[in-house]
Amino acid sequence: MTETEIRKRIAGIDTYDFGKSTAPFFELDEIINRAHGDAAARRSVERVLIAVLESGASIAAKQEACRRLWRIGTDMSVDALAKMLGSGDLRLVEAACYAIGVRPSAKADAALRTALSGQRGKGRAAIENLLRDRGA
Amino acid sequence: MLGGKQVTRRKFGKTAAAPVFASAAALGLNGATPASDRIALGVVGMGGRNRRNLTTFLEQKDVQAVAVCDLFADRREFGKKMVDDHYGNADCRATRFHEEIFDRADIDAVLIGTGDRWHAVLSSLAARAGKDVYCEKPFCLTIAEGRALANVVKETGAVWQCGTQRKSNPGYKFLVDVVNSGRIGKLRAVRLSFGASGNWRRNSFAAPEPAPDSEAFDYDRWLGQAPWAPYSPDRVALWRVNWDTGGGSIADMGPHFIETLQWAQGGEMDAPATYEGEAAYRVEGGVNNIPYWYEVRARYADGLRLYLDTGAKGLKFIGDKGWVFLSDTGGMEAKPASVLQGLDPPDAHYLIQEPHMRNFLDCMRSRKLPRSHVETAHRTHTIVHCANICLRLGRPLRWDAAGERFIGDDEANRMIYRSMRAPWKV
Repeated sequence: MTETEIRKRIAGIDTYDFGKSTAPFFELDEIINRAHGDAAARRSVERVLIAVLESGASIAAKQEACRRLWRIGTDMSVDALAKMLGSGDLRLVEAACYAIGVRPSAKADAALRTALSGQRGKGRAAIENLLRDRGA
Repeated sequence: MLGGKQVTRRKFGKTAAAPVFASAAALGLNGATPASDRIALGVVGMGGRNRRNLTTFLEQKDVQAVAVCDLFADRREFGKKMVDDHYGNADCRATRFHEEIFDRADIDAVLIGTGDRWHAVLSSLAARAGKDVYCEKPFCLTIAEGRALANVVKETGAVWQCGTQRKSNPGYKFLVDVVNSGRIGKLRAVRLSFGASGNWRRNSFAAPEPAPDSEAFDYDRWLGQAPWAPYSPDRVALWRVNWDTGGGSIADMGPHFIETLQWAQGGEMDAPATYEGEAAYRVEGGVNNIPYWYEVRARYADGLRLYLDTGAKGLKFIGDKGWVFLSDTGGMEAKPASVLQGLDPPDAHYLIQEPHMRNFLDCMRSRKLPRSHVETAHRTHTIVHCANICLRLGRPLRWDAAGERFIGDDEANRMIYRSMRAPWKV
């Protein structure tokens, strides 16, 4: 499945916000599940999700994108997540932590450590807790 | 905790200095437990389920409830009234901050019955504060959360009992004995059905609204570890049907029924090796993102098959000579009828919960492992979460019970863990 085909099937995820239907995300989950073992299709999905993170989409849309990156994200999405970690918005910091989870990735560890230096309060606690849980 | 090393553990069994104007009950006369030997209980969560739990704890003569906590003002006032009415005084402290309860050196045990996302976090905080804990199920939202709490309980030496009260229910013991007696022959399969209640189909887009004043309802605390979301009354009401705050019907009932299965086959630390299944979702979108219909087929290494589905709520043990079924409301059936011939099944209603609470209280004094101790509970909850992960991924999975990892599935292994909203952690 190409990136264009994926975008067509999940139209609306970048304009999603709290209080609206999450139906496009059920479709996205179906695409992700069917693409198990298809690295090219998974990369296409990840590029679509990265585009959501780098757009002016709502917090809600970025959270939903992060829930999918939690499952399938690779180092390709770490730069976009690193920007969220350094955004100063606690909601984005926490969404990025959710996406990184325990995926094995030295690049993600480095992004978390880099972000830690600029964080205080709950944002710092969120990153510290994740680093601890990752054993990093 | 009693008899332990934590600074807040009280020295039970020693004679406390009697107050000058002590009542007969306080002195332990007329059959009452002396105040100095009563277990002081704090209660976190005053919704419907924990009100039932508290009612049973209040009936225990060696328990003195002293504080209640809830994020809703009306619920904590209700809890205070329950306790004060029971004792005929106004001594119960009501608070929305669990820290107030955990920081009190005079409190020995905590009864936790909140939303599921809080169970492990609160259990961990309470255990680290030196309290013993009776905690409702499901006690964790992820496998990693369960493992983390099991480690905390071991490290602190807390007595921690999972609120799977069926484990101490005479009717469930009877069921286990029937299965183990050979009356149904060799056990081949178990079908655990969690019902198809309309509650699991409820849904809403959860339109955001201004959050109430935190004294009336502390929404930020209510979210706890769950990802941030704006306040919506429907989001609060439907917490059980969203992965952020609950685990659906498998997580809700699975800990009870799976624990019974593991008990019956004598493998409380056992686990299925494979999972497969199908599910249906409310694909129109909304808060409800858990399966409202499903069938999970799991298999233990010895060939025993386990089915989890949305049939009439109950447990069916199937052997090569017959089967026996226990309904969640206590009725028992079997085929052939000779399976139960000459037997007198005791009441097995799910609300028989005093024996389980009594076991917890007795273990607080003896420092023995309670019936539903944390490692047993972790194993049953792991099966619950494996089933849910299988359904979410829509493909078969293989599980390594010793390593607590899926075999050959990186995506599934990521779903063992979920980061928490700060500052909460286990």
